Amino acid sequence: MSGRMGIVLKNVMKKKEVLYFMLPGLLLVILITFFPIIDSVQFSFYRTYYLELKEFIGLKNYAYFLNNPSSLRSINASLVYVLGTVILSLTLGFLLALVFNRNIRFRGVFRTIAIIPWIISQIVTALLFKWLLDPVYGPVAYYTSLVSDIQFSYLSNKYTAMLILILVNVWRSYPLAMVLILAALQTVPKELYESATIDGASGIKAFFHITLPLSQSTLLVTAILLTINTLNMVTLIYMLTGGSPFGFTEVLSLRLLKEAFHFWNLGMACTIGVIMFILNVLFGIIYIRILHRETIY
Amino acid sequence: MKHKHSSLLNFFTYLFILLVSAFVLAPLLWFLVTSLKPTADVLAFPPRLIPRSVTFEHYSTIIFGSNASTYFKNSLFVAVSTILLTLIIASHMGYAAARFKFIGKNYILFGLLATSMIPGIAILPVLYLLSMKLNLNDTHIVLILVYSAWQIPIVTWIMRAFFESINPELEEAARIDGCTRMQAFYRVILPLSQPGLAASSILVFIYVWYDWLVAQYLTISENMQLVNVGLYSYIRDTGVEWGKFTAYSILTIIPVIALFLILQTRFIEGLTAGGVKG
Repeated sequence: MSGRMGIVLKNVMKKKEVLYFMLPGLLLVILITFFPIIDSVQFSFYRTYYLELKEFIGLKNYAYFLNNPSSLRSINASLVYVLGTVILSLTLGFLLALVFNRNIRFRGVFRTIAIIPWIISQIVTALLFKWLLDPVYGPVAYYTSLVSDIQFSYLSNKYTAMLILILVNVWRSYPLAMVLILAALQTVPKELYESATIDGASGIKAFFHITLPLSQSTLLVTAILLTINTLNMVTLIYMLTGGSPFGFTEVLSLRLLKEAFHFWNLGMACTIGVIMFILNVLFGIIYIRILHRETIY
Repeated sequence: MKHKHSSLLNFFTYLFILLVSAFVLAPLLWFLVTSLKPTADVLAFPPRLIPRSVTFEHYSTIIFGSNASTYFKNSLFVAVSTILLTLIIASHMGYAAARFKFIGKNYILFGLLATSMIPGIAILPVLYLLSMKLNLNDTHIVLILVYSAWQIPIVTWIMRAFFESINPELEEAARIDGCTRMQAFYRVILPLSQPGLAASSILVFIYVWYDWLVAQYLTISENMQLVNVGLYSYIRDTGVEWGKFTAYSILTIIPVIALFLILQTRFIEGLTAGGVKG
């Protein structure tokens, strides 16, 4: 920074001005995000009756939650849902980014189409597939019934419900991966590929030695963003399966919603909330670390 | 040999993007076709992919024969208010972060970013309780405050990056002309920040317009509900009426799709920045 800039900066470091610019925002965020986090942690140590705090019970809510087979099923469902979504979305997003990084015909049109699922709400996405897979009137059921002569209900089958849920979530999640990875690919200097071709390394070799290493941190950031989004997602799952069949798709976030607003079990809801915070913080720390490394100079 | 190889690659590339396009468009087209079919055809068996006739009856039922117009007005009001509040607050914070030096700045910035990763669902029960205690439950004010508080962190980061890209000499020149620091911000910098403000507005708009979770549990009355809460209750309370459900759904996504087609670049900027809180 130049010397003149230094003089201006000195002029503006008055406390009053900093407060004027920062205080309203900080107050709002503290009031609506920080305090509720503290409250949630506190409530998770209490027995509650509807919305009232009863007595302090320490870690009993946690012990109860973790010793419950249905909780383990929820944790398992979350894990499968997150892993499935992240792996498939990253793969699909990466492949599409590679395609759109080339000079193909109608690139603009195809790219616009590929982005569309991103701009459709979770509730409408759920309805789209619910109707497409409708066991009686949906085209998928009809055409599969021509082949197998049973009308199959994908969303009420133990084995296919989670698979469908993951595929639907991939449908709306891969564009984020595609856009982020495409942006990263476009910063890779073309000369690198040219000199690789001269050295006799093109195609698959160039991909593994140039493209992949240079987009590594973008891939990691994207994976974390997808993980956080998927882990915390409620609406899509609530609308598509609502946790059925038999709780097989009842992920942690959905279970939290049910504990809070169906069973009015505030203490348990906050307990699950704290478990989710911890998971988010773990992923968040990795994310912020990468960002910190890249943006702070 | 080489030529053959690359044309095979081309074939698979086009096959791949055609398959992806089909994966994207098939559910949407089936939905759109359903919304335009006469009721008798909606439940036709086997399913009719191409309707015999096109009708707008479902759309007119939703627009004139349901509460949808109230929900749309509510959503518009809440979205615009949230955009204004968020942009005003976050552009100030972003500016301070870009131009001022003060103690703890980095902690505040990364603290803000961390809050944008807090799962909304995890604090919603407590917010529900808080809104009851403050007598703000079932008002639009509580929705605007919650949405703003959850969007301010990410918009602050967007605006900070934007202000950092503006040459500081512009403010210096304004200061030499006798402006105070604040005047320079309001008169010189903010008007130059329209692209950043536009991307942020789109991000906030989609967030509010598409939210179901917060609005579902912080509002109760029929005349307070936002579009997606209205859509959900309509589906819950009406028998199986896919013609109407699809029409209603399409009405809720049309504003966003229109914005996307008009402002694609800004739109993608906004959405990418908001990738954290989908």
